[in-house]
Parts: sequence; C-alpha cells; structure tokens
Amino acid sequence: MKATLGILLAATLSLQAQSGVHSFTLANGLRVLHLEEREHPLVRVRLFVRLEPGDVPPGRQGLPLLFQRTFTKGETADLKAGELDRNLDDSGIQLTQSLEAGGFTWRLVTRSRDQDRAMGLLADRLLRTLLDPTLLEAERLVCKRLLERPEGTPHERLRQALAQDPAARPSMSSLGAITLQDLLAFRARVLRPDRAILILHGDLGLEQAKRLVLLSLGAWSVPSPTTPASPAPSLVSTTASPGSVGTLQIPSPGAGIRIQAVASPSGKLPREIVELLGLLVPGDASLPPVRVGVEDGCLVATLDGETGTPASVAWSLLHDRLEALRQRGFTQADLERARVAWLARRSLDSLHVEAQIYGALAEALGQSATEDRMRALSLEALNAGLSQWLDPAKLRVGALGEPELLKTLPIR
Amino acid sequence: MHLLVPFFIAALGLQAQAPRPSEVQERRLSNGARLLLVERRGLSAFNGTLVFQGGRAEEPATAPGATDLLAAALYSTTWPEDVAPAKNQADLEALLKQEEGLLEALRLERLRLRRDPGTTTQVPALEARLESIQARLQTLCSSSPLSDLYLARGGRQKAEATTDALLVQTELPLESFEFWCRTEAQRLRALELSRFSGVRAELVADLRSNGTLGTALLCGAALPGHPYGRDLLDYLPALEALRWSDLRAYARHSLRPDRMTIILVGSFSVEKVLPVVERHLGSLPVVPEGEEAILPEITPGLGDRRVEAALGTSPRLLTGWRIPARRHPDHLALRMAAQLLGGGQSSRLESQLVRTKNLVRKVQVSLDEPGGRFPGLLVADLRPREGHSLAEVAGALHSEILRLQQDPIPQEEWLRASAQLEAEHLRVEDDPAALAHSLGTAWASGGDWRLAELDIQALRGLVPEVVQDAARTWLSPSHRTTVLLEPNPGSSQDPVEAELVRVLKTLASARIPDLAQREHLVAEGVRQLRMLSSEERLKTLKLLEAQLAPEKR
Repeated sequence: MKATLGILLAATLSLQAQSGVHSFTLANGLRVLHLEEREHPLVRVRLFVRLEPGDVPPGRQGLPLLFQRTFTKGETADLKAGELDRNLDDSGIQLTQSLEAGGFTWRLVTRSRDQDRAMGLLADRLLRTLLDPTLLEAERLVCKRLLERPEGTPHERLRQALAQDPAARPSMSSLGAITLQDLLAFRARVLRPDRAILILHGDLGLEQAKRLVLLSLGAWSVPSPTTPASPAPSLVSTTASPGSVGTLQIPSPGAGIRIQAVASPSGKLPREIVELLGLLVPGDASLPPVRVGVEDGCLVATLDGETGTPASVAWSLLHDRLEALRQRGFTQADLERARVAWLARRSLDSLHVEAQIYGALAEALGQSATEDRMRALSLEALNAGLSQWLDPAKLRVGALGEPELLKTLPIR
Repeated sequence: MHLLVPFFIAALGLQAQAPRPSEVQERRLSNGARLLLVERRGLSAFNGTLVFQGGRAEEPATAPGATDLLAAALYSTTWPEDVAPAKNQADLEALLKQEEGLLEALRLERLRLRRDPGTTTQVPALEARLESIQARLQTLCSSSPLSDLYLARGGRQKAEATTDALLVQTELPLESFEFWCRTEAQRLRALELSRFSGVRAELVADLRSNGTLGTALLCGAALPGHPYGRDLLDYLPALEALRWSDLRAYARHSLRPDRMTIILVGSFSVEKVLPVVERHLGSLPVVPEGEEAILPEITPGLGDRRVEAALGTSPRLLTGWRIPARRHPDHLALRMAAQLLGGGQSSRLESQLVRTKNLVRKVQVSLDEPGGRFPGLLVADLRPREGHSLAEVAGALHSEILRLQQDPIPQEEWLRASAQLEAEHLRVEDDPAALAHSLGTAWASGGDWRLAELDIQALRGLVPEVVQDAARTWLSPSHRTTVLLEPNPGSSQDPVEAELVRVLKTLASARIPDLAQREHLVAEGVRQLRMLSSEERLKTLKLLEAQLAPEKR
C-alpha cells in the first residue's frame, strides 16, 4: 500500500515538475539529457553519435553512408529482417536513422505508454544489429547506381551533389573498396557510448528516464580501442576543399543556367557569428539577382540565368556578388538589428519540440550560441567571420543547364 | 480465448491514451472570416495560419500559376513597402505599372522575333528601359538586411500553394501578436506585390528546369479536363503573359475574407485575441462575391488508362486510382486501405514487394493527390530493383490489391495500422504548425475543420469489411491509371516524343497564330499520345510527318 502511495506521490510530483534540462551520465560514458514536457502523451528520443576526423580510412569515402544503409536494414541478433519494423509499427513508433553533418542521429517518437518497448527496440537496433555481407553488396549496388544516376529533379540533384564536401564524396572506386571488415571496424570505432549523447523529451519524469536508459542502454559497452584509420579525409573535416576541386556540372537539356554555391561554416567559426550571418546575409540588398538562403547550416547562393545566358556570365555574376558582400561587410546598425532578431527568435523554440531538443544537444556539444557572447560580439569579429565563411577558395560550386552552355564555364 | 487479450489491451490502451481532441474554439468575424483558436499554455510564441480556400484548382485559364505566385510574391517575405503604405506609394505603383508595360512589350517583341527572325529588333532598347525602371524601383524598396518585418522581430513566415488552398504560416514571439494582425490586414489591403516580376521569373525557371514530373503525368492522364489534372508546365506561355495587375485582380477576388480562415495556436484566450483580430483582420472589406469557378465533374470509372514515357533517371511505376473527395463516406476507409498498403515499414507493399519478393526498392503510397476537395487519386509510387521490369512490378501490385479486396484482413495487421494512424494524429496534435496545417487543410478540402478530429474518432468505429468494400469499389481497374516511366540515358526526353513535339509544333504553327494557344494544344496532343504504346506512337509520328511539307520533315 505504501509502495503504491509512493508511486502515486512520485508520479504526481513528476507531473508538477517544471520543464528544464537535467543531465546524467551512465557508467559506460553515455551522456543523457532529460527534458520533461507533459502536454501530450508522447516521448521523443534523439541519440547522436559523433563522427571524428580519422573515422574514415583513406580511399573509403562513402563508408559512413554505406554503413548507415547496411546497418538500418540489417537483422538484429534477436529479430529477423522486418520483425523490428513490425514491432515498431505495431505501436505506431517512429524510428529513423540519418547521417548528418558531424555524426549519426537516431530519432524516436513514441506514445508514452510504449516508451519501454520503443527504447528496447532502439537498443536492439543499436547494439545487436548484424552486419550482413549480402546486404552490404545490395546496398553497395544501390549507392553506385545513385552515384551514376542520382534521383530527383535537376535542381534537387545539383543541391544534393553540393551538400557534401568534395573530399568526402564517394566515388565508384571508393565504394567498391569498402569491405565488411571496414564496416565492422568503423562500427567499433564510432558506435561507442562515450561518443554519444542521448536526449529524452516528453511525458516522462527524471527517475523514469534514468530507469529507462539504464535498462535499455546500460549494457552498451565501450569496445577495446581500435587503431584509428588516419590520416583520413573525414566527413567532418573542418576545411572545405577549394572550389576548383570537383566542380559539378549537371547537363540538363532545355533548362536555363543555374549556378549554385554552397558555403559551409568552418567548425572554428563561433556559433554566434554563424547565427547572425545566417540572419543578415540572405536579406542583403546587394545580392539580387543572386538568392541566398540558409540550408542545413550552410549558406546556399543560387543564380538562375535567363534562357541562353552563357554559364560564364552567370558564374562571374554570382562570384562578384558574393565577393562584393564579403569585402564590404556589415555595419554596426546591421549587427544591432540582427542581435535583436536573434534574441527574439529564441522564443520560437517553444513551438518546436525538435528545436528544443536540438538546442539541448548543441549546448551539450558546446556548439550553442549564448546570450552573453552574443552581446559581446564586435563588428570586426562579425565581418572577419563573413570573410572567412564566404572565402571563394572554400565554396562548393556547381552548374546546371544546357550542355552546350555549360561548356563556357571558366572552371571545368 | 487468450487471443482476445491483445485486443482488450489494445482497446484499453486506445481509450487510456486516446489523443485529447484539441480544444478548438471557432468564431466568425464581422466580415465573414473564420477564426479558430487553439489555446496552448506555456508558449512564448504563437503560430498564426491564414488559409484561403481555392488554390490552384480554381485558377482561371488566364491566370495559371497565380496561387504559386501569390505564395511567393505576396507572402514568404514581409517588406515594409508591401504592407505599410508610405508617402511614395503612388510612385511605387506608377513604376510597377511601367515595369508591367515594359515586360509585356518585351514579351511581345520576343514572340515577334521568333516568328520573323532577321527583322529589326526593339529588344535591346526595351531591355535598357526596363533596367532603368527596375533600378528606380529598387531605390523605393527596402535595401538593408533584416528589412523583412517579421525576420527583424525574430519571426518567420512560409507560404504553400496547393490545389485546394493557399496556406500561410507565421511564427512570432507572443508580444508581436497585434503587430501580426495589423501587418496581415495591411498586406491584404495593399496587395502591392512589389517583387512580382522576379518571383514570376523564378517560377518559370524552376518549371523549365525541372521539366515534366511523374506525378503531373499521372494526374494529367487520370483526371483529364479537370483542374486537378492540369500541369502548370503546359501553361508556361500564359504564365509568362500574366501581368502584375492581373495577379492583383485575381488576389482581390480569391483572398477575400469569406474565403479565409485564421488559425491561432498559442498561449492566449479567445477573449483576449478576438477583439484584436476583429479590429484588424475583421475590418477587411467584404468583397462582393464574383462568379464562382464551376469545375467539371470527374467520372471515377473512366476506364483503365495507361501512359508510357521516358522520364527521370530510373524506372518508376506510378499507379493512381480515382477516389472520392474527402467528404465522401468511403474516404476514411480508403485512408485505412492506403495505410495497410503503404503505411510504415511493415505495410503490405513494403513487406511483400520490397522484402519478400525483392522486386521493389522504394514504396510510397499517398492519398488525395493532388487534392481532397474534389475526387482525386490514391497513388502507389513504386521504384523497381535492378533487373525487374515495370510490368513485373505492376503485376505484383495488382496481386496485392486483389488480396486486400478479397482476403480477410488479419486482426494483428488491422490493429497495427490503427495504432499508426492514432500515433500520427498525436504527433500532429503535439506540433502547433502541424496542427494548424491539419485544421486548415480539413477546412479547405473538406469544408469543415472538424474533419481533422472526426476522422480519428470515426477510425475507431471502422471495421475491416468496410475497408474491403471500399477497396473493391474504388481500387478497381476501371478507376485506375498506370504511368510507366523508363529512363532515357543522356536525355531527359524520349526521342520519339521530342520528334512528335517538333512535328506537332510545325503543323500547329501553320494553323494557329496565337503562340500560347498553340503551345497549349501541342502539350495536350503530347499528353494524349503518351497514352499510346511505343509502336502506336511511332506509327502516329509517321502519319503526322507525312502531313508536313517535304522540306520540313
């Protein structure tokens, strides 16, 4: 009776708990963040596993991608192909895995009553997936085919191709060279609890979260050290390759010329600068007809030339506009306005659970912008950051259009 | 007996954790606009969504692409000159008028040159004048970064053009609520569209570059003669001819208060927001109703249709069945059928076609394509694995449809599909933007926002036999259209089709002087020819070529 009352009391107290981030670390090194939110009977989980320079051996570009595809579709020690998916679907649980800049992310959304089951299935996928050589071959074929004939509209294909650092872009030969041993070694190197951060958000209390994580991922052990595969052109390389390397051209009969440049911020660029430039650059009046947006943390500049416009003309115009802005920089008034907008924008996170989870993760990774540093940011630092971000040598540039018109490009 | 246990558990669970119906409060403003309010405590920002019923389906032939243009030119960004009439507003409008005239003159001059190449051209002179006007326009427009009024206040806005509606979602800090109401009212009063020419050029470039899309081919073949089957790409000349003043006139008619629903999700009460909304958005003038668009009826049983085309970079099988509109009693059953077929990783098509038979590498099933206000399509989009033909995949899909129609649906599978739909509903409830979108879409396509809630309640009363009845009625060959897309290496267009276009254009040029009409007829002709088999197409091409003068063959 006392125990029941105790549980009831604990449940009531946890219901009354204020939303806030609590953190704890398991003995195996897994860092856990807990955000309580009782509005709906839902629990969201995000597991981030960091990729580090040196994780991809030389000549094995595409290894993270192939690993992800093989791993997601593999059987686990306890569940045959399809059974894990069926178990997830039985409870309407959503589990996705993605390869994003900086690492692998698993996202789980479940009704709170199914949280134990959902975490058990996540653990099953994470800790007990068998890497199957047949599946590796099938996925290798798919990757090669997608490399040869990427899907989507020409615009989507151009954007997709520019999303990746040329040095980390897979090639037919690098994909062909990847062996099952590479996959196993990569897994041992990367899927470690001490590289991971787990975030739990939603309709569960702190004690409940601790119990859940301990039961499901407490057995995740740190594998014995493996030799790092260095030196490596890594996925998370902080220096982008020069624009002249692997300049992309997508011939598209009937299409007008499109030139696109993607600027990925260097990892050394302070987060405050990245956030403010993300607000300032897209709206700059000196850029049109070039349009600039922020996508996946990168600045994406696009110029559509009218039908018949030589690619070289469009190319120069896009470069000139970006370079002029880089040389000119912003004013103190611009900086003040951006600061005000940034401070106000933070309240929008209350509308987006995913943004709250992302914010907690960024903070844990030491990658979040803080109000104090934002207020202390100088104009000189902002413009130096702009100059660094839009450095022409670091832009990834591509072009799409009539094959004949593409021939006029200055860089081939 | 023990078999019943999972049922009881599932049923109890459903009741214990059934999503609470979102507490939507509805009010009508004095000008006829609807207000839906969902109160969510503890939010420091709000989501304000405007939904205008109509969308692409109601665009007149003279204003194709108008909904997309309004989404980009009226919404998405909020320039001061578009919402706060300044002292130089008259100058701005005069320049926009001049820009319109020059753009039209340029268009006509370019058309004339295409007809009579080699004659003296006015293009450079017109271009120079246009450039000068646009430079003057630029001086009247905002030039500093963050001049977007919402962005400067930490907000953001996105607009979406669909076949049934124009949806505009804005997120702003709570303290900017009245500012949002005022800004949106001023935007609708002014309808300035100062960036019209750039937005139109961007839309045209996008359409040209992306070319024909598979889903557009499917809708065109499955819903002929109906606006749901219209491909904007076929109307490029008319889109290029659409003027700034035409779009303004269209916006005045289509964005009027009685066609607008305002959805608010935030930490505020109806007593607090209603007077503010009434003061600004409720004071928008009531526009006398013009002639409502009369849309043709679609006969679901048009017969089994088939289209073959060379498109894209990999083979793809698109199958669409004509299904009733969202309000129809069978619609929910079809939603469940779609879930059983393609919802989740363990659905029938995933488990049978992808895993067991290894025929397909990607499956996608969608409902209400391209919209749900009128009869639309249930679409199965399948991408075969290497070494498997489209015919093989089509056969396997057909078997799965027959199985759904004839074999009893296992209870385990039924419960799984129900759980997925319930969980999906809960995820929508949890996300203010998704909730507003769901309510807005239910209103725009079903005429009643309550459909978003009713569907999930009605789902609990649905039984497998009803789903099978609906599958037998609607997923039959007479309702079906199949599009077989094979890639054509090195070119985005089938050579036979390219030649057909050339021949049709040559024939049409001799008979139809109006270029827009000519291009539309050619596009329609190509659409019809795609219904033929490859052999029949070749024969038709030869017959058409025979009608050309020898030097033009």
